[in-house]
Amino acid sequence: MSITPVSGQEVVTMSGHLFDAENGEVLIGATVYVKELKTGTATNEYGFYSITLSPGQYHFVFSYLGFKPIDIELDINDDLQKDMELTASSETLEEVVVKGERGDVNVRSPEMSMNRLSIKEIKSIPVLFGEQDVLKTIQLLPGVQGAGEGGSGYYVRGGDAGQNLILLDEAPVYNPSHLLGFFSVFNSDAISDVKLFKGGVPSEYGGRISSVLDIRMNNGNNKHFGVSGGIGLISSRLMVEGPIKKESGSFIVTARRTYADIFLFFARDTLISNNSLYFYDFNAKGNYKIGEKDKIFLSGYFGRDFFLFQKRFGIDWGNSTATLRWNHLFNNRLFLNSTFLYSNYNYIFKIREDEGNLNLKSSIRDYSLKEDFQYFINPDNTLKFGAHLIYHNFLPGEITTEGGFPVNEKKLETKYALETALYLSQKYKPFSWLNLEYGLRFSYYMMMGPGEFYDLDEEGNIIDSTSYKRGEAVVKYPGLEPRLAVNFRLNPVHSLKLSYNRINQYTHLLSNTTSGSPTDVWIPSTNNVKPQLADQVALGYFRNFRDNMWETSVEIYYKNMANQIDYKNGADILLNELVESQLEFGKGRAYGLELLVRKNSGALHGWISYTLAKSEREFKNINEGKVYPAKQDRTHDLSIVAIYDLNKKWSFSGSWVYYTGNAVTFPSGKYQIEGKTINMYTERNGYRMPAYHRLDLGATRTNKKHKRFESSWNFSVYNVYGRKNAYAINFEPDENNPGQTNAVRLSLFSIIPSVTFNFKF
Amino acid sequence: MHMLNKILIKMNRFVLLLLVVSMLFSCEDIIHIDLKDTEPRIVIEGVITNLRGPYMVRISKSVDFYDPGEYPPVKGAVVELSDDQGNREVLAGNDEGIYLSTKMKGHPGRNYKLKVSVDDREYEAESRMETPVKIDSIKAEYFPGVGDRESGYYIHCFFNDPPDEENNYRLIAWRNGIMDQNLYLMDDEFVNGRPVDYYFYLTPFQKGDTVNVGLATIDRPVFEYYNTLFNIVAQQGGNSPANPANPVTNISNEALGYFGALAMDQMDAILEERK
Repeated sequence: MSITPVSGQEVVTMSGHLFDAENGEVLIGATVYVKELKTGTATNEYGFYSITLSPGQYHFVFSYLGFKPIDIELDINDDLQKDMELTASSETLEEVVVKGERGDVNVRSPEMSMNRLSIKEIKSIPVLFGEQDVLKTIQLLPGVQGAGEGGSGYYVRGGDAGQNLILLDEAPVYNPSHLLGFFSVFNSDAISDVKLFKGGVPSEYGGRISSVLDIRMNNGNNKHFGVSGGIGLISSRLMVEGPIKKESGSFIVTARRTYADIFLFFARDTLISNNSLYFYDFNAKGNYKIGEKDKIFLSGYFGRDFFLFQKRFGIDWGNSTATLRWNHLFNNRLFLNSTFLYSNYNYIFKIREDEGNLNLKSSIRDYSLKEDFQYFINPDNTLKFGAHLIYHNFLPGEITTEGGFPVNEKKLETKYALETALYLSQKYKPFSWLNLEYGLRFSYYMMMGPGEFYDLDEEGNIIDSTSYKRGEAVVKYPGLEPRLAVNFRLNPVHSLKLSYNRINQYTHLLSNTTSGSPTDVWIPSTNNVKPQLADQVALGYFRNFRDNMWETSVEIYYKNMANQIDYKNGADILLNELVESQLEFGKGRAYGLELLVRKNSGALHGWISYTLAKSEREFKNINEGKVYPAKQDRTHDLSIVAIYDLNKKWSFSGSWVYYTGNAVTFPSGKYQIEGKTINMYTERNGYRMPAYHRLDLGATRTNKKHKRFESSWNFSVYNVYGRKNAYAINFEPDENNPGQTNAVRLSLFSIIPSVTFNFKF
Repeated sequence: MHMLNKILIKMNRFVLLLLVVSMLFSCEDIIHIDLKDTEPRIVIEGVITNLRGPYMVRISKSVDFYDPGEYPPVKGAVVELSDDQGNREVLAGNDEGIYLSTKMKGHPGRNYKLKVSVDDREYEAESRMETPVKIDSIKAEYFPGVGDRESGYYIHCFFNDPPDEENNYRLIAWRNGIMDQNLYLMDDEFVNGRPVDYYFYLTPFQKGDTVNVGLATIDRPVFEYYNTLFNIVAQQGGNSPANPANPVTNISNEALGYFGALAMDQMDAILEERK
C-alpha cells in the first residue's frame, strides 16, 4: 500500500508514542499541540500519534492530565520519529499549571456525551467495602444510574443494563458483576483507561444501543519489576509487573480474591454459616515490540464466582476473555490494529445429593476478528476505517445428570449467529471554528443453522417450523448506521456541540430481576426477535473557566428505541425451547438534560453532576397499550464528588448522591384466595420508590517511603449518616395480625466502615 | 431421598439466599407508602373435582391495600356449572358468597364450564378434568430444623408420571383435616415418564398428626394460574421479581381468581413412631 500526500505541497510527518516516564505505560488520549498552528492531535488507544505539517520550526506541547507538560521547539524538515516520556505531577499540592492548549479538550473536540475517568480518580472515591470500582464511579456521572444499592449494574440515558457494551481490551464482557453485583469484574489495578460513550457513539463501535464503556488494561512496567497490592477487610489483591525485555516488552499480572464468606462463619445460624460465597479473578497482559513498526499485545481476563449452599447445591459463574492484538505501522501516517478475541460467559448450577448429581449449564461464547485502520492525513483530517466480525455461540441451557439423579437430561439446541460490520469515519476540521466527526457503519447480522426454527404469531403460538442445515441463513438483518458529531467553537473557551447516532443491537439480555442475576439470559435476534434499534440526538454547550481549571457542560438528548423486549407475565424461561414465545415487544423513548461542573486541579477537586430525565415504554399488552414510565425512569439525579489533598500524607474524599426513586410496580389493593391475602396490581410502574440519598467519606494516609517500599492506608465509610434507603419494598400481611397488610422496607448497608492497606515495591 | 421439585425450589432458594447474605447487612421496617384507591373487582374461586361433591364457588370483592382484611362476599350471583355432556346446575348461594353444588358430578376427561352473572356482568371460565394420577405411597422423614424451617416430619409423596402426555400437578397437604396454605406445583418437563418423589418442604407434621396428601392433575391454564399466583405470594415473602402482576386467569371479563377442574387422588396416614 502506498500513501501519497494529499496535495502537491511538501509535507513532513512527526509520529511516535507517548509514555509515562515512570513505568513506560503508554498514555492514551494525551495531546500533542502545535502552538504556531493552534492545532494538534491526540494519541490513540496504543499511545500512538502522528502529525503531518509543512516543514518548519514549531513549538510542540505534549501533555496529559495529571502529568507535567513538555514544551519543546523542533525544526522539522524531514519525517521524524519522536517518542516522548511525560512525568506524573506527583506533588498534588503544587498546582499543576493548566495551560490553554491542554485542558480544553472537552471544548475543542467534537466528542460529546462522553466521559473519561482517570484511574487516580477512581481510586480516590470512597465506595462500599473500600473496593474501588470503575462501574460504581461511572454511576456518579450525569446520565448514568446504578441498577441497585451498592451494585455494579448501571443504566445509561434511560436504557437497560443489556444495552450497554462493556469492552475489556476490546473483548465484550457479558456479565460485569461479581458477588451479587456488589463488585464489578474490573480490578482497578489492571486498568489504565476508561471511556464511556452515552451518545454520539463513534462508528468504530456498535452492537449495543445505549452506551459503550471502553476499558483498557495496563501494559505493565517496562523499566523495572514491581509488586503492589492491597489487603482489605473482605478482599485482597496483588499485582506483579515488569519488563520482558527492557523498553521493548513488558507484562503485568493481577489477581484478586474475596473472603466475604468468612463473615458467614460468625453467624450462629448454620443455615447461614454452612455456605460459601466468594470470587477470584485474574488479569494478565504482555506486550512486545518487534522492530520499529510492529507491536504485539496479548491480554486476558478470567474470573469466577462460587456460591455453595449447605454443600448440597450451588452455582458458579464467570467470564473469560482473551485478546491478541498486532499494531502495525505501514508508514508514519497509517496505523493498523488487528485483533483476534474470545469472550465467554457461563454459569453452572449444581446439585450434589446422595442419589446423584445434576448440572444445569448455560453459556454465550464469542470469537471475533477486527481490522481497524487509522490514517493521519494532517492534524485536521484523520480517517478511521475497518471491518469487524463476531461469531456468536449461544448455549441456552443443558441439564446433565450423574449417578442416576432422577431427572431427564435435556439440551436446548446451540444457536449460531454472525455479526459483521464495515465502517468509515473522518475527523475533519475545515475551519478553526468547526470540528466534525462523521461516519457510517454498515452492520450485517445473520442467524444460522443448524436447527429447527419456529414462526410464532403475536400471541406466541407456533404457526410454522422450518429445519435449517449447518451454516444456512435463517434470517438476515442489514443495518445502516450513520454517526455524526459537530463542534462549533464559538471562541476558545466555549463551544456548541451536536451529535446523532443510529445503532442496531442484535443480542438481547433478558432479566427477570431488578438488580440482575447470574442466570440472566442473552438471546440472539431471530426470525421472531427483531434487532433493537436506537436513534439518538444530543445537543450540548461546553464552557471552561479560569484557564480550564473549571469545566462545565450542559447536554440535552432524545433517544428513540424500537423493538424493545420484555417478559410476558408468568413467563416460563427455564430451558424453554420457545423462550421467544414468552416475550412481548414494544418501543421506548428517553430524553433528558445533563449538567456537569468539574474542577480538575487544585487541592480541592471533583465534580457535581445533575440529570433531569424521563424514560418511557409502550407495549401493546402492558398497561393497555398506554405509554408508561420504564423502570429506569428517574426524574432527578444529583452527585457531588469532592477530593481534598491536604498534604503529602493525607487526602480526603467524599461523595453525596441524591435521586428520585425509580418507577416501580406496587399493589393498590388486595383480595383473598384460599383464605390467603393476595396483592392486587392495577398497573405496571405506577409508583415510585422513595427518594434515595447517601453520603460516603474516605481518607487516604500515604506512609513514608522506605527505599522502594511505598504504602498507604485507605479508610472509608459507606452511608455515613445511616440513611435507610429502600432496596425493596414488600407488601405483606402483618405477622401478628394477618388481616392487616403492611409495606415493609428492606434496606441494606447502614454505615459500613472499611479499611484497606495498599503497598508497592 | 430427593427429587426434582428441588431444582426449582433451589433455584428460588438461591435468589433468597443471596438476600439472606445481604441481610447480614440489612434491616426491615414498616413504612407508609401512599397507594391509590381501587375499584373493587370481582374475585371468583371455583373448583370441581372427581371426588364427591358438593363443589364450591366462592365470590368476593377486592379491597384497598390498607383496608382491614375483610373481603365483601358477593351475594345473589347466578352461578352455573356445566359439562360438555349437557349436564348443568345452578348453584345455590348463601350470605358468605359461597355457592354449593348438589347434584353435579366431576368426571375425568370432561370439560367443565363455570358461568357467573352478577351486577349485569358475565364471567366465564372453562377447565378440563384430566385423568388422575395415582399416589403410590407417602413417607414421613424427620428434619431437625434449621433457620426458619421448623423441625418435624416432612412428607414425601411417590407417584409415577405417565410417559405419553404432558402432566401438570398441584399437590396439597392437610394436617388434621386443615388444608396447608403452601402452594406446591410441578409439571413433568424434566421428569416425564419417571417415578417422582415429591417433597413437601415447607409443611412440618408432628407425631400423632393425621396426614392427608392430595395429588391433583390439572390442565395447563390452571397450572399457569397457580404458578403466577405463587410468584406473587413469593414476592410477598420478599423475593421480588422485576414486574409483579396479577396472576394469569382463565376467567373472562377481568375477574380475579380462577376456575379449576382438579383430578385428584388422595392418601391418608397417621404419623406414629415405627416400632
